[in-house]
Amino acid sequence: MSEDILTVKNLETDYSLDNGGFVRAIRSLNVELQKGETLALVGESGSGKSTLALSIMRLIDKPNKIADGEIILHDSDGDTSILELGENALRRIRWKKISMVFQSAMNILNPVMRIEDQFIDTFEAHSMPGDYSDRIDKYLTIAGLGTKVRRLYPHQLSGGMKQRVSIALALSCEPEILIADEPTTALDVVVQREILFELKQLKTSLNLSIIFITHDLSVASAVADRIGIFYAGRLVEIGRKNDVIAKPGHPYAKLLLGSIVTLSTERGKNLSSLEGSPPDLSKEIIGCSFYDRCPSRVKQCLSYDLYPVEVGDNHYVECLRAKELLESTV
Amino acid sequence: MITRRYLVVRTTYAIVTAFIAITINFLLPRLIPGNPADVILFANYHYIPPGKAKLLEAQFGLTTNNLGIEFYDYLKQLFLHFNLGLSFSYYPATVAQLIESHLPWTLYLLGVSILLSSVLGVIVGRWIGWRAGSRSESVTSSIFIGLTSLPYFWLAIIFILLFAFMIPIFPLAGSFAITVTPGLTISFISSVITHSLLPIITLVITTFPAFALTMRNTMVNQNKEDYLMMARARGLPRHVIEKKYAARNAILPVTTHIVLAFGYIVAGAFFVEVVFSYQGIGYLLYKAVTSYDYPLVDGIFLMITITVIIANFLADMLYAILDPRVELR
Repeated sequence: MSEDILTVKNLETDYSLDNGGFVRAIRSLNVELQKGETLALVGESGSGKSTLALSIMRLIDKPNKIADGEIILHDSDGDTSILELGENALRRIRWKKISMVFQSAMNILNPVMRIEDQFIDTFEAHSMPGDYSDRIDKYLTIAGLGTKVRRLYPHQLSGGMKQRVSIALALSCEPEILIADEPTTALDVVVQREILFELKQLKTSLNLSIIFITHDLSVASAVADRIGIFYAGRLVEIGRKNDVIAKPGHPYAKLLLGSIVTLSTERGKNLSSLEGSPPDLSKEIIGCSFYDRCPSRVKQCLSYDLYPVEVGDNHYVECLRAKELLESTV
Repeated sequence: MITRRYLVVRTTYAIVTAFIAITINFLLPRLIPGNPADVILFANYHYIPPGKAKLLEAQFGLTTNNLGIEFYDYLKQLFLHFNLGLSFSYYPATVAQLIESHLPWTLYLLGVSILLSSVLGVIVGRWIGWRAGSRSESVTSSIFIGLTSLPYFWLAIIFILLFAFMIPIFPLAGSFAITVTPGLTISFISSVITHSLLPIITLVITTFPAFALTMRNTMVNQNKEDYLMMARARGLPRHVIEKKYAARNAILPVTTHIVLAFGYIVAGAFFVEVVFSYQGIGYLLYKAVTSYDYPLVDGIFLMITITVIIANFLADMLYAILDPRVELR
């Protein structure tokens, strides 16, 4: 088993509501990122994928809060508990150790600063060594942009170019972990393919560990080493890409996979669909959160104290009937 | 970025606006009922001798009863000779002379007030905006909301009463003491400064809180911007984010606000001049209007218009420098 670089333990993140209550967007989540891997996190909107990304970066702002849990970075400096860091120490971890590509790049760059100045202030914040100018050119080139871009303002760039700039920025301080939060969702498929391809190459050449967040299973299967399936703030299934895709253990994962159209899908075949909607996260959920919509539910699911069941080598499923269901399909 | 095209189009706009303003300025005083010749004669003789009235009207060029011809003469004199005519009430002084002697006082008053209130508004607004939600911020903001609702002239009267009459630390009126002779002497300059302090403070106190509140609100909204979150994610120090990201972007709408408030400040300065008997354009205008002095009113309006147009033009240029996205649409 390979070495972990980031461990998330029992994480709970809450969004506060106007009426004084809160929505628990992440529910006692456990996940670890291995060194050098790409972990794709897949789930529908509102399932907590982006919240996890923001929690790791500690970008959850008041009145919202990380209610519980630990996030630990394991690197050459030893173990760092991210949630316990003071403002300055946190500032130094951000971008230098863990950087991020945000979902929408449209408004992510300061509109009144030239691209190069936004690189330079990042370098200055982390006292990066070497010639800043060379470094900017290097990473713009890596992200597939010309070096002329550095003199431009954000409004002079297209959406795809902005996303490339944000990738270049994310890589420019040589982070160990890159969190990519739906980096290609806002882009057309041609640009999407190019960017995914580049990310894949960069991972190997820069020795990155990547958390790749997407709602698109086909994108996930294109980039990932492991896939984690999110549902209602929990990771309901995680395992190696091929295991999850070929033998999904969780009923939700099965339905999700069954809903995808591929070129090889037979004509006339019914795609699976899912009735109902995810549970209300502002209320306490007892037992399995998928119970209401699950085709394989049994009474015991409601009293089931959730824990991951190992159904294969490094393949975990958070379902009481996981083993039983897997055997029945074989 | 100021491009050549931007410059040309903005200049054209300024010129067209100026021409329209000149036309309106010519027409407006002529629509006021009354006759200046009668006013002068009545003031001197307490009745209107018919022959003298005709004579004066002829001298003032009021014989044709034809606005078109009067306008043509007016434009010709204005553009060819910079001749704004003779003042009726300060006869035989020319309008140009009167404006020349009064304008510097107003420009000084206005320039200092606008500069101070913009700078103060931006700095204070940035400070309270970055601390929004704290106790000191909510107290300051509430006070500012109160200050924005004070009328200029009211505050001016209160200030005179308090700081010139009851506690006489400032002079009551005028733009310099009658005991000093104008010139580049220390006594004259210090007299000018002490006389201008109360008017300037009045103007600044009634204008800068509105700028500060705009700046505060835009600073608060900056927190919702993606680029601000990105700046934090990049690990930039807090002061860098405040200065180069939040304040730098928040200043753009504030600039617009200041420019829009420009006319309002000019009007305020005029009120303040009247209250303080400060010998600027506002005071002169007040005198001119009350004595049916058409040419003087015209000349002053023209002056104000040109000043505001020039200021707007400069503001356009400033905006283009501040915001790289400003281009012609």
